[in-house]
Amino acid sequence: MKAVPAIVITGLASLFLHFDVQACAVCFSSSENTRAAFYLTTAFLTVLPVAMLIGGFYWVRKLQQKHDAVDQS
Amino acid sequence: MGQTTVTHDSHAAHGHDHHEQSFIMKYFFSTDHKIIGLQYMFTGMFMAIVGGYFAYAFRMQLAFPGMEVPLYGTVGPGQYNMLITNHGAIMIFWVAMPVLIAAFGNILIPLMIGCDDMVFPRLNRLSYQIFLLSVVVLFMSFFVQGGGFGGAWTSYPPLSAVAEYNLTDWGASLWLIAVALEFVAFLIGGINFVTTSMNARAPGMRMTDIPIVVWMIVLASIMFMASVGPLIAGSVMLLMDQRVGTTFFVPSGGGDPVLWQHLFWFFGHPEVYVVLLPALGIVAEIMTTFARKKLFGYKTILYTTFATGGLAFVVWAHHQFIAGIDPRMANIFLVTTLLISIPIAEILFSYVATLYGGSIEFRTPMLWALGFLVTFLLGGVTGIYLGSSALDIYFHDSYFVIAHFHSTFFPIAIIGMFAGLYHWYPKMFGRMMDETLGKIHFWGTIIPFNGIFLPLFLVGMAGQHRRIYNFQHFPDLATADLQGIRVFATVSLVTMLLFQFVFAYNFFVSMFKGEKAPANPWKSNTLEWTVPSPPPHGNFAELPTVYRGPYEYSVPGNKEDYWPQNMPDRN
Amino acid sequence: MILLVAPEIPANSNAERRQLVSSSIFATVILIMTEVMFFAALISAYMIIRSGAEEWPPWGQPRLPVFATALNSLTLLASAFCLHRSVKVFSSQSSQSKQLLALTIALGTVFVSVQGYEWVQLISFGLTITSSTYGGVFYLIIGAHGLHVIGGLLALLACLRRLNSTSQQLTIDNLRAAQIFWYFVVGVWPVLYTLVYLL
Repeated sequence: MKAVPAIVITGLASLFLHFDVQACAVCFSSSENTRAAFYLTTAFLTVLPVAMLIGGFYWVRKLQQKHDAVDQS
Repeated sequence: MGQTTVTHDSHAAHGHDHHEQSFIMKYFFSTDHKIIGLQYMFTGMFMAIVGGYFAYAFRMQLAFPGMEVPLYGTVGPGQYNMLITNHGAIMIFWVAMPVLIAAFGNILIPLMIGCDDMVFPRLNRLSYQIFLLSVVVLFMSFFVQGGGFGGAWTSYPPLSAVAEYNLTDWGASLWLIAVALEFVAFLIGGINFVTTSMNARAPGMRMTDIPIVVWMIVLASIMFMASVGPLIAGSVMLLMDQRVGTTFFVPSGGGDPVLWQHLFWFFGHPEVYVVLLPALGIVAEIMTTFARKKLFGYKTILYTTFATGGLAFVVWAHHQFIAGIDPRMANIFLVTTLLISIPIAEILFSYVATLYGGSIEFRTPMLWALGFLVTFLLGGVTGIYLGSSALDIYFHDSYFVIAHFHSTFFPIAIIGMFAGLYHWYPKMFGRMMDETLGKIHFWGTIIPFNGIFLPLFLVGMAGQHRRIYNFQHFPDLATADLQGIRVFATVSLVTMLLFQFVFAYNFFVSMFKGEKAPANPWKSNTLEWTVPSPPPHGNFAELPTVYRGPYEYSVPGNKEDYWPQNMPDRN
Repeated sequence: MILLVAPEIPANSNAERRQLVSSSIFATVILIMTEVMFFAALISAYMIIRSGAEEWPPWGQPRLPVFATALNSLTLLASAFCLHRSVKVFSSQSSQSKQLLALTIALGTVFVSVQGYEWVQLISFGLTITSSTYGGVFYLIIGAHGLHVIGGLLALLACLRRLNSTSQQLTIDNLRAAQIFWYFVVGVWPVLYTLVYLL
């Protein structure tokens, strides 16, 4: 279990290893702007549904608890 | 909205007319959830025949290039592209989704949660009608000038956006319209599923008393609805590129082709889990019934499924590893992709633990469920390799990918479908299917299936690229041993398709001549087995009350080894 | 004929369904989840296409009427406020509620009409959907929102019609469902306005 922090740190560090590597030389845009936009929209599109699902989960759970409280009384 | 407000919980006011309905009204314009489910199922099975026929045609072309394919004719390059494109699209959008989610969802959800119909019956009917329209539009796309769309089921622009590139001007547009209509149909259906299972449960049924297959279909519907928005937006944009002349995805006009991949795979990857979850649910029901044992870790499976649902939204860019996305982003998606194998593996381990120590009956549905577990495992394990962004550079777009996702999708869509069909056939049609023929069908499907796709892993590793209509044009790939493997895969495919006639015979003959099914032929616990087979309109003569979870098998102290959910006392 | 469905038996149509929350509200919330993702995708598309452009707005393309649209946005916000009041007094003062609902619809119609007029002007100035990606994303996003406004107006009109009819009673839950949808339509507008007009 001692190795876990080392693995985590190496994994996170590897995220910054290839800062300037371009995977595709022929793609439409290599501008920093477009890359930033893709980053931003990826994060946006990823976080939004997960947040909504978590919110929905708690909403339904709250409704169900209210429901159960009515049943018991 | 109009529909929503009109049909709002007015189930008292509609549908339960006592006069005899005409055949057309009863089977084509019914608002009964069972009829709509069967409509989806028959349409999906018909589309499976079309998709299988396409697969037959292009596999024959690959094994025997240039030969006139019996029952099809010569497959040219354009034809080949059209066949593979529509095979993929049909099998995912018009077979897996309608059968696994729409058909089983419609038939099972109201019966399993103990209510008389969906919450919005007329919306449900509308959902099927839009789906049918999408089928019609898809078929129209095959017969317009230039033929059906051939830009692969992912329809990457600029190939798909510009008619001069893809040479199928209207074929591409109609294909896209068909896909968009299909999404609208499932959107309506999905809203109905989620609302029904949350709002119309039988008295006493707590959240954790809902059968796992209902949960899985509900979660799949929620995931579908949270992911489909971007693809609808993307489809609208692509359609405008094709028909109006905008350049959203065309680089020459200032657009960005990677943007389409972005929007497409944002839907495309959750979609994998959307079709996987109902199949997992079906298998769970069958395993616990035929192992006569309580499902191992109901809550674990439930929460793991929630986790899968969340994770499914953060893995999608692994389809774009070599599309020119930022390598830093690829790294993050590599990690999440490998992470998502953990909850899925956990669910499968729970299933194995359910089997452990059970008294297993090898009836036909159980065989299919076990077959699902084994073949899906093979597909899942090969996914680990592809999830690595470094290996993906080599494997991308090769037959290894094809073999990988067929090893996942085939168990999901075909084996899962057959498992569910054999299991609930008595409930759907009131007759039993023939066991011997069912077992012949099982072995005749599962062995040739592996005969098709295990060799394709090999040719994929040898560097065989996908979407090429004749490998004889590539000296490195035209060698005799590789060609031998291709012929073997094709022969396996034909064998597998021939064995489906056994199923067709069994299916239709049992419908009329099969042994009459009792209400509960498998001695199962869930509510749908407490009503007669087939269930009457309105399902329950008297709404059931639920006292316990759905998986109380072999409880000590009971006379019988099953304990229906609505039975108040020990039996 | 095989019996896919056994002969009619009286269903338990009068059995009470135990709802967590009214089904129409629940369904609307799920629909809005999809709509949020739909607009999120349009916003993403806008940002990516814009980031690839060298000049935004491109040379020779007309500028958007920022101030006039800001004023127009106020009518949309006012309509949301009217609807809020209308729902609040729904059970106590039904005639006032009806008037407020009609006012909401009127304000929404004004918004759509002014937007339509703006489009006609812009097209005459040379900003069309095919003139550049700038025009393309503008008409795509604002058009998608406009269609949602029209959809919301139709839902509110259906509510108003049922409020007037004697045969079909409008329940508070129906109105709430339409209200949630209208709030979504109004709520997403400032985001789109900021993105497309201001930034």
